[in-house]
Amino acid sequence: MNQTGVLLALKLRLFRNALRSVRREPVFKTIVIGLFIALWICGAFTLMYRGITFIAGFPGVGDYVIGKLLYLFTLALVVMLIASNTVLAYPVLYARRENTLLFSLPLSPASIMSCKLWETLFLSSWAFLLMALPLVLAYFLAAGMGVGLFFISWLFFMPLASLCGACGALISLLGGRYMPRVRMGRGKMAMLLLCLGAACIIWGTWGSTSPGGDQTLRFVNRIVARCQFASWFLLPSSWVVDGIFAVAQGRYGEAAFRWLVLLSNALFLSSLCTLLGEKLLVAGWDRRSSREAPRPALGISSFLAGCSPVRGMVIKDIITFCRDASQWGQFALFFGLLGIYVVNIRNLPYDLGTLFWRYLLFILNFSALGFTLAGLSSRFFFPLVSIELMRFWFLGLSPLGVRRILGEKYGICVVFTVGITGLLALLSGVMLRVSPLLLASSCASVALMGIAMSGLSVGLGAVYPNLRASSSAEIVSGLGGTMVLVLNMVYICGALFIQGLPLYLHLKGFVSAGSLPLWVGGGVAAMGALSIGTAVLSLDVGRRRCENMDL
Amino acid sequence: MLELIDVTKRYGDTVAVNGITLRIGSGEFFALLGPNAAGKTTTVKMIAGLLRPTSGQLTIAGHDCACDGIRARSILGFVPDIPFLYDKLTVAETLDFAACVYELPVEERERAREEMLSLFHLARERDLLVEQLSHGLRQRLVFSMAMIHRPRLMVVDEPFVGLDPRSMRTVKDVLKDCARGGGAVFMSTHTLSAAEELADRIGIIMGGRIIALGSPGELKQQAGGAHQLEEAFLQITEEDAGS
Repeated sequence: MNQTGVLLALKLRLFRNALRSVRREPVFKTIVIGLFIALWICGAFTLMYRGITFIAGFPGVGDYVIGKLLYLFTLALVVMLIASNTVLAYPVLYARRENTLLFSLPLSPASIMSCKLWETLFLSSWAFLLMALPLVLAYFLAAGMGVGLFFISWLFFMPLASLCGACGALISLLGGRYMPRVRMGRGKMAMLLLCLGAACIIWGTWGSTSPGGDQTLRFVNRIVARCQFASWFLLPSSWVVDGIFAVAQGRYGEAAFRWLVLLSNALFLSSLCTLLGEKLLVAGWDRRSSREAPRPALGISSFLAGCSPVRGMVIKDIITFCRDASQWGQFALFFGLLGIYVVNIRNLPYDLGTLFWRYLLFILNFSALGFTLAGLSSRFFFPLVSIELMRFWFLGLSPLGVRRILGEKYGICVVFTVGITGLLALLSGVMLRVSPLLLASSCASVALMGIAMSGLSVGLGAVYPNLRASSSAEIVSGLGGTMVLVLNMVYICGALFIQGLPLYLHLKGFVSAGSLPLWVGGGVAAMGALSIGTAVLSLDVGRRRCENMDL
Repeated sequence: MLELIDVTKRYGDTVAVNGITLRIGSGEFFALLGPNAAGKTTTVKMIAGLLRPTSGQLTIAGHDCACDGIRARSILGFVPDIPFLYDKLTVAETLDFAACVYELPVEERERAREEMLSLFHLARERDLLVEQLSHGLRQRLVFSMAMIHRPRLMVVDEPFVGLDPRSMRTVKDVLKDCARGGGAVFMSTHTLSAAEELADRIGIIMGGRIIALGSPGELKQQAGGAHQLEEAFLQITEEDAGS
């Protein structure tokens, strides 16, 4: 067996043993995770199916639009796959402790690179499969293309996933080796971020159209025009869709050609990756290992001298987060997606006059804000408690007490999540031109959601700590992380119901325009009760669990 | 067996290792001592191929580590200070992997695995996952991985941390046997008693430079006839810090 084969056999064995160890996991955990996966698959399928059926019902243009949507959907998959492969490949290539073993063994860098390429591909593709499978199936069924074509489409999606994997690995490989280390002061960094934010807002508000004429048709035309770039002949995503359409229309020769183009590109990029890995992998690793220690954050850490214990912990958390490079990739990806969302708000048809559309967009935007909050709090703040508990030999013996430690984590989480999503609520509300009443209501509700979800993340972080995980990403992927995500989703459903009910009743004519503010205010008050109750309960359970914990 | 010629390693502006030149011959047991942050682990990592020297040359049995790294590493057994092991492999699977990577002949792999399990008293734990092992058992497994291909050069960084007295004795015997059998051992440690007991030659590194080199007896003489190596070490490092 060659060296790559030995390494791949090792990874397979690790995977097999990890699967076997699932049997030792608590049944409750397996059931919760299984249920969540099933719910996700069913929910994603239903939403996509209904959405495509709805669009297909557009008189005259339905079929044309859903054809274009497949191009757009596949292009979005390509972008997401390349981004996730890049983010995953960097730690796999350069940051894993495993490298200290592999590089000390008589293995060629090319074989290590080859194995890591497969590993990255596997890590990013299983999520891709889980995410894309129900969506693609729903698309094929709703578009009347049948299950047979759905299975054939995977012949095209698999080389596409390999191509994206190789692309992502290549970006990380080159980035790790050649990316210049820019040392930027905090002032310059803040200025750069401000400029980027301002550019996003200007781009997002620029070019909004005014109402008039046949607005629905204009909206459809605009969407179609904006989707044109997705079918550009040089994009790999268009090779996939063209190939699928060719199979559907019986042009098998053309389909085979497209498939071979995809496959040859995927193989070329993978070979290039291995070839460059031979030259650059060890050099990149050495460059990373030989870098200077980070400069002490004088501006922040000088506050540590003579400050209160809680403030000291806040500063410690900020400093450690800033210096943990493994968090940056996901942080950048998260805010990149938020940026894309903000930039694309202007494409939504907020200039369509009907109340139904405006309320629908308001609710959709509100749910997007909820999901953002859920993502932020569960990904970045849920693991914080486990990380702190790992050092409980020190903090647990200090006079701080569990209540203050959890309170500090909760405080940071609320300030951070509400700060970001509150700003986003304000910005998106203004860009969607919602009424002042709804704008005020969404801002207040987002603040309340932040209070509740922060409580869930910190409280359940204490109830389900993972004291053996080596990274915060690993902590999130356990039972506690899944529970937080499930409970956040349940909470969001409740919040959407409370927010949406007055609008629905108004649309149905049960609530008059004059009494709508009262109903909306009542909704916010109900959300306040729900949110404060959720936060207090979660934190109290977490505190009690922490106080009685054997560490 | 191992040759370092004017080897330097910089981390940005910080010089961790500053022009070290050393020759360790076959059959020699060499110990590298030094205070914290003296450059011991950086030196060890460069020998193991985990770091590239900024300048200078490093050869193992005549193979240049920069140009012929794979051949150099194939005759080396490395035990790092913080070893990495795959948590989801069993002890036996870990050794099988190591045998595979060092390209031991197929018919020899099982024998080598059993020999290591027996040598490091791991036979009872052979089917346990690595994550289920205690620190001492993990350390023994790391040694058995590093020795499965009978390396001609053993490079060990703080090998005695977390070992019980019996395991410590086993490790000492194994390392001594390696040197006596015509190989060489390069050990970085803070355990002065072990260095005094095992090493033929000792180097003391401080600020990235070798400040003293010789047999334990020579070092004691250099320190004005000190009785213990600890006494000599403290005096030599204190003098250097003062100068």
